[in-house]
Amino acid sequence: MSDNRFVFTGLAELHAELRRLPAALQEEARDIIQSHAREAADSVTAVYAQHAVTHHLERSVEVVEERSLYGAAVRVRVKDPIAWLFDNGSAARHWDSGKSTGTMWGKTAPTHVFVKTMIKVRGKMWQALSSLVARAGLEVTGRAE
Amino acid sequence: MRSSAITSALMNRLRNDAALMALTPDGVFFNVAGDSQLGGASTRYVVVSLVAAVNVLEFGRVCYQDARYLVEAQLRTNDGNLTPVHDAAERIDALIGLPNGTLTIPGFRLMTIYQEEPTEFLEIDAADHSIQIARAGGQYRLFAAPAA
Repeated sequence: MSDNRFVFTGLAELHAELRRLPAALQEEARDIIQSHAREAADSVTAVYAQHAVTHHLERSVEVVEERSLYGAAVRVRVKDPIAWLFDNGSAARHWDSGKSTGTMWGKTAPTHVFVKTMIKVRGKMWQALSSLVARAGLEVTGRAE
Repeated sequence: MRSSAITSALMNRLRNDAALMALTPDGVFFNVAGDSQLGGASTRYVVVSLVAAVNVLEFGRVCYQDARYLVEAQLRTNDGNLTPVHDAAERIDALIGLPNGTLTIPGFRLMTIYQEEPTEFLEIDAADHSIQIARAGGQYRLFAAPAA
């Protein structure tokens, strides 16, 4: 089972301009990326907490920062293997007869909460980064996903 | 503009294909499988769910809708044989993926639809390991513009 994961990458044009930013603005860009990643992680954790039985799921949300000479990346990751089923729905966790499986839930609709949250926050992050680049006197004409 | 028309068109595209229905005869469901269209519990079916959608605006109106759907064949298996679910996923992709996938959406003009990320998973019931559901399909990205 794969972990849920989301990597903030994207628009090549914006990336290119971000790489040309002065060092001070690069720090500001890192702060923007980090704060949005934390916002995304907090939002997902809040939803997990509403459905908590063991709290393993919400405790397994991680924000992992990766820095290099060429930029910054932040990975939001959920390590608990149940995260995939929480996002994509469950089909098998039930008896054909409908008999309870104890603490396990029955078949459930997909929430897609992780992917939805990441798409929403990523859009906000691109806007903030575009504004930063614009303040530096550069122009981004493409549209971020 | 009725966004649900996109979901309906996607599900109807799958339902109306005889080859796919031979592989998943219990039907095509939204979010969670219901009873089989043949009667009884569903064990071979397709589930469609809307992951996320956004309306992209240009010049003060909706220019197009950008939507992601999870489309998965889900087949009960007792012997770990994944060939049938892979066949179903391949058929789904032939219907709605590149290069020949297509969709007729009332009120919209399809711009493109393609598989953005394949999915493949064997779900095993925690209490009864003999209950296994093989899942395969993918997340599909769809762009559709409202008809003028």
